[in-house]
Amino acid sequence: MQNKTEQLQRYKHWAEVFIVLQVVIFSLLHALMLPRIKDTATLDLVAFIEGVVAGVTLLLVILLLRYRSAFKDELALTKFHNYLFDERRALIRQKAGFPILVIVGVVVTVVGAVAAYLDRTVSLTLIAAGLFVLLFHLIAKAWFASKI
Amino acid sequence: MHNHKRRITIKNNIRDLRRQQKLSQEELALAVGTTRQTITSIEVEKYTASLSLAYRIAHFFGLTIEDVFDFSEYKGENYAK
Repeated sequence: MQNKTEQLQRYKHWAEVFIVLQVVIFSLLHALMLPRIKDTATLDLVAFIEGVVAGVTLLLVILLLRYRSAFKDELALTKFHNYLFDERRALIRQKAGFPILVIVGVVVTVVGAVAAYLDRTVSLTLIAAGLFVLLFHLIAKAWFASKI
Repeated sequence: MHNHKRRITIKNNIRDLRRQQKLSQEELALAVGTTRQTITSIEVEKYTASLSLAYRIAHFFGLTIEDVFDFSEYKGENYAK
């Protein structure tokens, strides 16, 4: 049980670090880079991306709350641990290209979001490519989940 | 003759054992440290349990792995050919 708690605590800390990093990076970009953008089309794109980033942050906060609720009682913790470390789930994720596809998808999308403050075309291309990779991973996961 | 189209799932009697003990899939999953979906997949032979999960399931029912999983189609095969 102690081992399970430690593992989940580590995951929870990573989620917290990710939320803080995301808020800091996009707050800095908003404060420093946004006033320099003169082009209306680029401003619209940046506004859209900042909205998406706010949505992703909200999702991460919900995920964090889920982690926290798992610590409330032993049964919930065991169920959540079983879910996270389930061997069939691990196989499905592995077959769907985890972790490399997720890493590539997230990195390309985040770089694309940051690039929105610099160049519109580059940003759109990177975001489209990153989201395609993530979508492909999700579809592959759903496909293998129905097969295994 | 080596059979290249070999089934990779192994028949098992987990559903019968579980029903004998009046256990739900969720209860069995919790007892052996996995999820209900994994137990479902093993029961319908869509997924083959790992050696450690197979051991945990067999141990839970107080049986050996061979009592729970059916390896009869592998008996007498010579894989060196």
